[in-house]
Amino acid sequence: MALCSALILISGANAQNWSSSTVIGTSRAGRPIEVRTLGAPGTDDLGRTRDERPALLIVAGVQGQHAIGRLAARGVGERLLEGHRDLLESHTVYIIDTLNPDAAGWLSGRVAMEFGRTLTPTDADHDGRLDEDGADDLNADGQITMMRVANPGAGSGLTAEWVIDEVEPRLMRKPKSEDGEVATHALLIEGTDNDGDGAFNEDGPGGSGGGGVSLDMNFPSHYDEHSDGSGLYTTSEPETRAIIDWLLTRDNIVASVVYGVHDNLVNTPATGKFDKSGRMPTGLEKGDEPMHKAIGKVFTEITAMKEAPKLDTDGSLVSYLYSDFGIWAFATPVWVRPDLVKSDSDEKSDDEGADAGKEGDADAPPDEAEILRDQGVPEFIVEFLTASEEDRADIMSGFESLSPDEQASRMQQMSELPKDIRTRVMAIAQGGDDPGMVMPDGAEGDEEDGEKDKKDKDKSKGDKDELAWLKYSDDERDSSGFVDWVEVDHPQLGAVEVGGFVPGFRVNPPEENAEAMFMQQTEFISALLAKLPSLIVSEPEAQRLGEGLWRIRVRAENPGLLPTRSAMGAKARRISPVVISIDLEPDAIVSGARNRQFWSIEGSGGHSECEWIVRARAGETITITTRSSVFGDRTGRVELKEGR
Amino acid sequence: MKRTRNMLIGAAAALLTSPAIAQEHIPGKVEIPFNRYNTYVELESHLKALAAAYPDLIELRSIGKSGQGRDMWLAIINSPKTGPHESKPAMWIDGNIHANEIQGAETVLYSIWYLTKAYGVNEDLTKLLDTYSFYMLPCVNPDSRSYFFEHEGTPHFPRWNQRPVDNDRDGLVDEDGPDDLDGDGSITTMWKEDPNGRWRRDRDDPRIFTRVAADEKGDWTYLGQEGIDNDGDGRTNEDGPGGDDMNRNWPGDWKPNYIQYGAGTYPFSNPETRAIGTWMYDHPNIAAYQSYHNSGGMILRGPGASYMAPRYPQQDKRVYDEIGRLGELILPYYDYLIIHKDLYDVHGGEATWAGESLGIISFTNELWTAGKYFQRDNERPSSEQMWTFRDKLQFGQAYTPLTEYDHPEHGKVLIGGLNKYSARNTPTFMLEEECHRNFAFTMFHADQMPTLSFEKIEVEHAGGRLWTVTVEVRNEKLIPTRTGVAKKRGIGANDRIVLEGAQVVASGSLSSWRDKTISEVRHEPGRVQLASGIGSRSSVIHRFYVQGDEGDRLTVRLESEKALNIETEITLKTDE
Repeated sequence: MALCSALILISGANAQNWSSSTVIGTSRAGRPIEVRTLGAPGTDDLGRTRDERPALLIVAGVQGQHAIGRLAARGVGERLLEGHRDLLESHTVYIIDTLNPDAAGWLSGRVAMEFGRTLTPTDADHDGRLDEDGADDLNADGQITMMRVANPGAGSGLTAEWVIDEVEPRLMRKPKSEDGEVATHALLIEGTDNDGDGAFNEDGPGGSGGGGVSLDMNFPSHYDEHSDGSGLYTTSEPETRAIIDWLLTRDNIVASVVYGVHDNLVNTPATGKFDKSGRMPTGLEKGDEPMHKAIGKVFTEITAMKEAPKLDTDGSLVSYLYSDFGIWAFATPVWVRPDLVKSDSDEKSDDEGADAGKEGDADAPPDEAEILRDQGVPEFIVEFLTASEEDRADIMSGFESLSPDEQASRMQQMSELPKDIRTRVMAIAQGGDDPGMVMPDGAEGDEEDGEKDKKDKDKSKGDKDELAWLKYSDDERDSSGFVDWVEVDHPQLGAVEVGGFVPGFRVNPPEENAEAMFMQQTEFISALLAKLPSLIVSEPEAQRLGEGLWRIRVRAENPGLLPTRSAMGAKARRISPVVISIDLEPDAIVSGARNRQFWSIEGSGGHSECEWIVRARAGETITITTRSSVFGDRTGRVELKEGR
Repeated sequence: MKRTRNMLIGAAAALLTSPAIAQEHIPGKVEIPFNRYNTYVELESHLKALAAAYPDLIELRSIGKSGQGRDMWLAIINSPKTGPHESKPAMWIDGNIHANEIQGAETVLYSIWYLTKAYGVNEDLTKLLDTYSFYMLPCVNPDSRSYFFEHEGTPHFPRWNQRPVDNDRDGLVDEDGPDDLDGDGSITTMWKEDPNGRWRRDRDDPRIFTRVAADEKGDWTYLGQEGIDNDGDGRTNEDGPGGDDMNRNWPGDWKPNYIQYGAGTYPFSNPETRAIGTWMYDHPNIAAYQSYHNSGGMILRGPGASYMAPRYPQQDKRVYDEIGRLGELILPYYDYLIIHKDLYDVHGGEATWAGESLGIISFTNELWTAGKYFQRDNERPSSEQMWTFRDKLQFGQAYTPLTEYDHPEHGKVLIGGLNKYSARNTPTFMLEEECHRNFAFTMFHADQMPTLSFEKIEVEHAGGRLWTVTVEVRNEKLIPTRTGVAKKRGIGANDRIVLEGAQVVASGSLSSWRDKTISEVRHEPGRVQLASGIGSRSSVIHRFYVQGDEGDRLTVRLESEKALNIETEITLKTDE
């Protein structure tokens, strides 16, 4: 991007001292992962270097296809150095613009794909072969789009589940079976069944259809084990470990912004929702909601975004930064489709956008067994209904070995079940398929079923979205965002059509819009920097209470807007609190603990007082030490004077 | 497993030394006393001596370094003439991840020692070692084991590793550890005479202090653990060396420290757990898992948390139950229990990770239990009986007499009490038996790992160039090649049955030999994916339709990650 390079030239020499780069690890393919540190050179008046001042972290390039994030992270860095050095005096900004360099490199050098996973070799289909069946560019247009197959033959292994939309024939939709409509097409990612196993593109390098590892699924928070793209285990990827290992040496980072495919600024995450342990929030801790919303408001005022894709918490970086690392974690896609941004003519109320996040946030699925028990279902039925298919067979054969009395008692209990449950039990017992349980609104089934529901939900939203994307492509991008369907002779399926959205089109703005995005993000980051917490510890004061007895007092104040630690940070307790300690022998302290711990000090002038009564002689100097790996250590002294 | 070999079981029987062994004692080339505990250095030298004495059977390999740079010694035990260790189903056995639970290491050392000296002497164990390989790592926590022996400890400390951690959150690290004031190698208790004390010293047995009732007056104050308030914060021994509880540092259901205390900063954040994790992921042939802890006399299986229960489908529970029940029989005073139900919730545990994330049948044994002191019944001995045991059987060796000490904070105090060997570690004179019984338990577990054989192969001429080849592959062992959880969660690669040497035009499975029709495998009929593997003591029957001519030679092969691959040659010919 020409503008970017120009800015680097302008800031060039002068920026050197204000910015430095460090390699924090290497990708699986050996590419460096770099962090850029921005901040005033040398030490500040508290004697702190850049790495000892409260800091904001910006991370981008977690997913390969999200080019705008990488550019924005770099662009914001340049603009901060250019025009906001005042903010870099008291705070530091760390920028990792490309956490996943392999995916970025992979996408730029080869056939374009929608996915941006790592190149980790995988056996996604468990057939003993690695990366053997990726997507294929059938129409040789340099990109992987979709493939639709009319009336797939019996031998194809494909099922027709779609019809061509009569209003917009470029789009596919699910048939209206209630009107007697019959599916005509199978829809899948462009490619062949390279390994002849009947499945298409199920195990390709970089996750073109399956396989690879999505770094945004590989972090430990809410990790979805054994799912496609999540990796061999949580933190299995060198990129994941590189950033975590580095973060663990940077206690001074208090807030973060992730540029990626998700948002939690327009959509405020829900509160009161936790993982299965009941302790790790899937959204926000209650105590963090007001400040998170306040930051969200600043963001939407700057960007005018009304809607943005919600945050997917399973193993994501943002989730980790908030619910494990314990810092403020914000996420934005940087750019959204123009109709999702408020225009001047838009008269909708301000609140609309914020409300979008309310429904359907990720939630720990309720336990099916508990729901059944709530309905008064006896335990043996609960066990039966929640068992796997094989286990049910076991339970049924166990039933036959019960005494006649026990059998009769159980039949009686069964006849008293609510009708839907009784029907379900009978259907299964007679060898039919489980009709599944009727869940209360918003609830999901066990882990596997829950996953499916979620994906289906996303899909139905997708239909509506796709039309809007197509309209945007036609009206504002000269139809460049969609490859029209063309017939291709498929080596295995015969005549098929290939077409669909251009990879990356739906996450990246046209080049001419990028500059505006950088301006917006710089404004937001600047605003956020100004709100970061700080810690001012007053010089100690001494008051003579009597012969050899003194009251010593200091005050710790946070002039920032955000508290010194989020509610989540205080809960996670990853970092030791601010400790203010009086350097006296325990015997000399009459009142007050020698070490005072402050887990959090509210923002906007919030403060904490520390007082001790000590025995000491006039003329002695009392030393107060403040220890904080976030805000830096410092020492204050007061000489005890008889007159005071 | 990649390497394919024909089954060689039984071939080694010829090696067995005869005449019949005169007594139930197998002489070893290395004599190791199992009536004492070993420091890390002694452990290391025993392992090196064993590897030198049995170079064909033991490969000693350092799979990594601990936080302080000690070697993580792994003994790879294998009989190479029946194939490389990676080709066979293997059992992983380790101990001493909690450093104070020292006898785990001796139990693993005993297992290495006994299994290797018995090879070629004892028929059962020879057959076992011809069929399976073993990965045995006696000490997962070398740094804290060294600390336990070289510095002060208690029966419960040091449990964690030596990673510096600010336990008391005062911004300083490891600044107030325990202090062995009386120099007995243990952290015991401190008492001060005090006219207003709440404790009274027993007149008959002055080692014993009892708390007085609310309306009574005592004459002693309990000052807590032996130590000094080194950092002057009013607390004693509150921030000692270490660390992470490495048995909370594994990637299965891992939760951060605020949910699971001791978890470490992220899964495998410690070099010790990472070394083992890397080995496990590199060796999908591991089909059985055992780790040793103390104490309580338990044979534990997961789940570690109630919501992980779906990872134990009925078919796996049957396997666990059968092994667990045998364990209860041969390990007196041990109970077969479930971690989250009978103990407490564990997130990020080692054996639960092996069971729930890797799909391996996995147990944790809690060695030693109070029931074994007198071996009369299952009741815990009374505290009076415990003193009898310490006095009459241990001759007072688990106790440091109370002696006067001039304490910098408290003045004249008494220091003494039960030492670090007193409660959780097996009394040394009973150690060998405990090692042997647990070793036997793991050998039983190991012997359940899958072994495959061609139960029956039938070739029929179906007219013209069309032939059918029907193959039954049987797993005679309890553990299936694909556990229920592995199948359900898609862990690891499927088994495969492969027919080579002729064009396979169709194939499919039969549920019994009586079936006339196959359940067709639509794709790759000559390389068939068996997602369910070969079950517990059961067979799969697969029929191939091939094009060929009389006399053609075909190869049929069963490939499995968790069983020795088997292969045989078939000739197309009509029965006469």
